Amino acid sequence: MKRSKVYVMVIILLIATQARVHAYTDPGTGTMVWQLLLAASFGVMFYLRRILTWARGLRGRDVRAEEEVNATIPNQKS
Amino acid sequence: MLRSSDTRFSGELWIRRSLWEAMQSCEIPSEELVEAPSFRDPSGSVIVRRDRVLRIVNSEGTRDFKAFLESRTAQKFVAEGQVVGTRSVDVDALERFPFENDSKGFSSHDADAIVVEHDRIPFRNYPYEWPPEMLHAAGVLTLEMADRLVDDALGLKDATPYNILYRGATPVFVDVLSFERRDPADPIWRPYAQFVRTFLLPLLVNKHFGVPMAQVFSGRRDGLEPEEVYRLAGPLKRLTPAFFSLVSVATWLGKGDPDKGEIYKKKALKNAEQAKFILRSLIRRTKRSLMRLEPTRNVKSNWSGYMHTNNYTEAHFLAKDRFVESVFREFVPKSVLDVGSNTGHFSASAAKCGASVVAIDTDPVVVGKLWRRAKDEKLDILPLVANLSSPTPAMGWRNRECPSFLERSRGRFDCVLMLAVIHHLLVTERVPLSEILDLAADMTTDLCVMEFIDPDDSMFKRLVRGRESLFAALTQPAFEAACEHRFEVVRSQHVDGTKRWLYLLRKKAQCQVN
Repeated sequence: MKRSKVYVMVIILLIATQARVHAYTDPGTGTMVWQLLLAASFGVMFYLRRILTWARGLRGRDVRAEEEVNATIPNQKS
Repeated sequence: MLRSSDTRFSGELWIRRSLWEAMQSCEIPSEELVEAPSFRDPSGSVIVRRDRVLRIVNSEGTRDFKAFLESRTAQKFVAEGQVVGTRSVDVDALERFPFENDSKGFSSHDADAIVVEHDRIPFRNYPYEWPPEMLHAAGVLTLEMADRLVDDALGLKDATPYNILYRGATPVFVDVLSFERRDPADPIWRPYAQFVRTFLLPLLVNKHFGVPMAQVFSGRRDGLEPEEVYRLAGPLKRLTPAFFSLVSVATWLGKGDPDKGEIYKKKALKNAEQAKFILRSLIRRTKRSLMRLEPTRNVKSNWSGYMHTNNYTEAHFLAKDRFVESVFREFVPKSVLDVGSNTGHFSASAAKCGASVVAIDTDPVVVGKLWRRAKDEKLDILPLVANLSSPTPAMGWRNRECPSFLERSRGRFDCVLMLAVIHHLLVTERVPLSEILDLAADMTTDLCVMEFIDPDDSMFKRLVRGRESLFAALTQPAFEAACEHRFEVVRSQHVDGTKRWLYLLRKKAQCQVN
């Protein structure tokens, strides 16, 4: 095969296998996807906070119960 | 079904077209028409006339609009001046207006339509005229609204700086049709991407690359895309915290098949409380990003030190100050345009004498400083980045959405200050003196305070740089003779020890705007 034919073939191949170009790209998509990811993490955080609040409540209840017990035994030291 | 929607649509078109025609008709004197009606929002239109701003809300928008007006948060916003004052107008009262034919038309075609009147913002202004400080404050206001409205199950349809106008140094939310009822189960803040494009990314490129707002917004109404900023930033900068999530991650996630319609579908969670938590967290996270982009104080520019580097001694400046202040005290102008305001010494003294001031300068740094001062001292000054030699052009669809600076300025001020300015226009911009005086006469309805700078002045000489022959004929008597065509000289004063004269000029009767 002549060298010129090889060049023509290469050019045809390059044109035929050109990467797909989108005329209508949506550049806002990335920001929207990022927001969805953030939203998902905040969604998880919502339940984590609930668990944390519940756990604190439990601890608080224990402390309160202890205080109440102490209060019901006045002048223990004396 | 098709029929009913057809009828509704044609009715809406009818309203819009006829209002538009009324606006265009000769019934309204052309100088009273200062803005074309808005058209982007399908829920209504705005008509701005010289002294009144009317908004027609059609049946598509009335429910959202009423829900907003009736909410406690909205009432607070209006009372605090963060949302423009809004009053309902009796449709019959519209007969007093030149577009009276429409009042009948739209009441018969669209029975649910309502008309409201807004407080007028004295001088409309747009993001491409703001220093970064003002864009930042407008962003803070937008997010505060979005955050506070969550409890009332309301939200913003869009988040663009065009929803906001500045009244003096205070941002005011004017596009009241941007508010909508929200599904409390929807956790997504839909205008987020627009907020990023129009607030966060412009502030980011300003902070890191010094790109001015005018450059961002004059060609891009909808701000900057993350992809554009990604290309601007180098490989290292893309990984820094400021750029990483806003620019790089958004660019990487946006690559690939663009057909991602799925992500825009409305999401509703079963737990409304969780949705509210997510929404609030998103808005507050955005606010933290915005606060990190707050423009730096005490930035220096060519002009920021002007008050210390000009060729005036303290005594000279005092004489000039006394002359200008005496004008404010004697004539008490209501609206003042300060051209080349720098950090606003004279704007502040006009505002302290009761004037509403628009101060323009070409340097965003000094305009930003003046905005901070006006805000801190509660002075009625609207500082804008504008260049009188190349004033802000009209923008938007058919160049009718945002009028040019000169359109907005024509006959708008009763006093125009042009202090230490004309040598820049004459020499740097090569504008003839008669043109400068014509423009001054065009903008003022009454007074103009002008400083004449002789070609022998050291600052003048510095600008001339070897082209002295061009200004050989520019003498003080020649200046006075040129003034006589449009103005009468009320008084003048030579600033002792300088080559400068101060003039108080009054516009001649034949030049008065009718």
